[in-house]
Amino acid sequence: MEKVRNIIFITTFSLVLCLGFGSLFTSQKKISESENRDLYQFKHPTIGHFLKGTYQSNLEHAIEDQILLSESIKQNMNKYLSFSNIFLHKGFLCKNNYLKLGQKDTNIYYNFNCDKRMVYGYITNDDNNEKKLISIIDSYSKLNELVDTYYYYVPTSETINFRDGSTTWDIYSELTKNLKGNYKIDKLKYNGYDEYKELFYATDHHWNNRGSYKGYLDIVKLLKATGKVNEPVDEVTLDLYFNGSMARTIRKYDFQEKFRVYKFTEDNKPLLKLQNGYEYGQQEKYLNNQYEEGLILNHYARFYGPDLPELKFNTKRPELDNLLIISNSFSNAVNVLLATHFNKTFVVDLRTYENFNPKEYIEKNNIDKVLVLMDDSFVTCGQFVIDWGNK
Amino acid sequence: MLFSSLTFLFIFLPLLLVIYFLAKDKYKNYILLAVSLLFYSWGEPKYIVLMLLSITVNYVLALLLDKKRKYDKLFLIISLIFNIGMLFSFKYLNFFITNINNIAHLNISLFKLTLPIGISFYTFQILSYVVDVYKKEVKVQKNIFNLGTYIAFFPQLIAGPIVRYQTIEEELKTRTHSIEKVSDGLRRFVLGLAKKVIIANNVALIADTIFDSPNVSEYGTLVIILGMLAYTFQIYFDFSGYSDMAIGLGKIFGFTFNENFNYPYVADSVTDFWRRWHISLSSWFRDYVYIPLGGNRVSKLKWIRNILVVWMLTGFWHGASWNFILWGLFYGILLLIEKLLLSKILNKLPKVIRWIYTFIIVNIGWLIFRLESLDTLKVVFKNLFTTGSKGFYNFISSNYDLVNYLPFMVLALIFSFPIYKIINDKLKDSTIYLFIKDIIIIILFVLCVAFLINNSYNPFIYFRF
Repeated sequence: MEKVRNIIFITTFSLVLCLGFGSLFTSQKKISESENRDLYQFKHPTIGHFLKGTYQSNLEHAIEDQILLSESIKQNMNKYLSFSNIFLHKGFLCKNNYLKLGQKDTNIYYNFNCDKRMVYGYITNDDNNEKKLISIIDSYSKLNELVDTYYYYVPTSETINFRDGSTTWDIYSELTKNLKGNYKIDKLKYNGYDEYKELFYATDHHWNNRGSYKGYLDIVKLLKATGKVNEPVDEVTLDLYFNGSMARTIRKYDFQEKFRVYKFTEDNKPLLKLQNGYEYGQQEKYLNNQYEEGLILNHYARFYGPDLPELKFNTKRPELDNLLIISNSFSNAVNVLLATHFNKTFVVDLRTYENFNPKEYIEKNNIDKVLVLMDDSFVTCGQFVIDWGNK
Repeated sequence: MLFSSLTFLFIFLPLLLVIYFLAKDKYKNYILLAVSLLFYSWGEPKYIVLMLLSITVNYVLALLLDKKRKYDKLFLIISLIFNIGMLFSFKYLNFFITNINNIAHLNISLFKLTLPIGISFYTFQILSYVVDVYKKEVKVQKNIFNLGTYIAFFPQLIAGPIVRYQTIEEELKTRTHSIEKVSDGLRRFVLGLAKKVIIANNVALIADTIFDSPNVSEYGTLVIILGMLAYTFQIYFDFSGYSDMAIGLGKIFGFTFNENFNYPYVADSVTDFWRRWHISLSSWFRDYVYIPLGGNRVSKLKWIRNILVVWMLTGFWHGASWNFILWGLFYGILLLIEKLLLSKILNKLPKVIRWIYTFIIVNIGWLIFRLESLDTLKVVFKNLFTTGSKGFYNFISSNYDLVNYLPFMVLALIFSFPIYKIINDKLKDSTIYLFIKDIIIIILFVLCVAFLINNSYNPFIYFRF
């Protein structure tokens, strides 16, 4: 029996090895559609490449990419090993009483390109997503009737196929066609992959300093905001290891990038302090090289400010309007810039509210304008739908 | 090349198995030597020359030493100078230059040398061979290919265990291969791979996030304890996993290597810990340094000196940095304290107290081992005992991705205890259990492959020693 068991074990083990080994000789896949990237290919060895070690590293990557079921293994591993999401959804990190993060209902996975740039997998206008968008549009159309509402949409790699420049889901058109009432809308414009690369991080899903600043300028125009535009005097590249959200999620810790930020002069700088005196973000510390470094540190949140349920800024200039921003983490990078143009600026992240009553909030805080700053994940996330109920 | 790489698992290993088992016995050593050299050159193409030089020089010196017994001491000294000189040049030269520069305020420039992979391991293997030939404990190897196979044999080449020549002397000449050996070897290999890929790689992220942060000196007690525990588990599962893989591979090709670990984290004294941790290294130092110095058959003062010298060298073997020397001396002093004072008291305490005492000491030891800067070490040590939960919440909220790796800490804790061994011993005669075990091992192998496909973080601690 022992011999039989050993033979069965060796045969099964060999089978797994053969499946892996054999799949290396099947025709090589060139592109991963779901990951939106070129896959590594097996190359012929050369002495030069071998001595440099590039042949060896390419071979390891090529096996990773070409081995049987590689793509679905990656997707499932990332799905089931993201324990942090479970804790986040349970409100593990939330202290305020109105905080209770609901079930995240986006269906996103994160991927990377061979040029060490990571992009989202596509989302499309399937029935499920279409329904979510309609709910968003319907609920915000009611908001339009209540107050001057402005929409700024940030298209991300989730809805663009950079290979042919086509849009997998034209959310902007759907918004402009279907939103009702009195509103104004604009979007972040860029053409193709090269421009996209200028405006977004390589390893993180957010817009970078250039993208968010471009967005800020667009929003100031859209809102017809008064006051001098904050103009950076310098662009500084901080010498730190930035392993963005997408890299962290798929555990590609060797994917890193430099962290580029803008520097403003003292008399023309963003409003970095909240109404309660606390600093939002650590922009000054970073610019003075007083920042923490760590393998998986979220520098976007630390530099610009973290996701919080509510932020209040106050320039104490009652002659200006009061603004309410409804957004997700995309607004973190522009909150402090926009706040300089208003008397009071309120920012709410609806993902952290069980019941948000916009009417009450607008009345209580004398809101003059509402900015809805949305990216692709915003419209596919049910938590941003305003539940009007009998409000 | 690492065992925990897809290239090894899906190209190197299957091809080698096919070629090796199809070849006639007389060619098997040549095949092993050739693939071992290829394995070594995969990661370090240029240092293959160094390896070949080492094999040739030591082969000639050992032959001369054996043939001209009149001058055997001279050839032994030449061999020691050559081997230790190589190790010194690549591993320790810059350390000494830096210290001389600091002390004498000089500016001697450092050499741009990268550490050849596994040099500490294979140098010690070669030394054991030459010394044993000198002591007539083993016969000189007249076939350079066989000696080359011993020195360069890929399973133990880059991270041990340190295999003595006498351990495999006979097996180099004649060894048996069987289905049982191959299947047992494969099982052992997969278990080692799982330790490395599933546990060590994941807890490594917690340890590295904390200790690689330039702000490590600002962390409070709780964060340091988290990092310390993570590193304690990482180093054990990483290194013992690699040893398991080496032992398993050795078995597949008909070699029997000695065990290198025996559940070190169940030890109930520091002495016990060192009987269970990196056994091949501590026994090497015992046989080739401690006993030649006189061991414990000398005056008390000399015995204390012998212990401290051996432990300082053990620390220094791990790396050219003061923290490693400090780590070695830390254990040397603790062992002396245990032997001279503490052992009687410890023996009277309940086992669980002895275990807690040892586990705390071992964790502190790993902290010294992990933090190469003595200034940082000083501050972290102070913070470990004085800062409580300060900054813990901030640390977790800034690094909430770390939550992903906490379940692996639990796995590490569970498998640090001999649960698998106990179950295995109890049920070894049950056919159903053995079949279920095989299914689990195959599933573990598939899981390891999935982790490797998905996970780019594959550090390997003992690679650099």
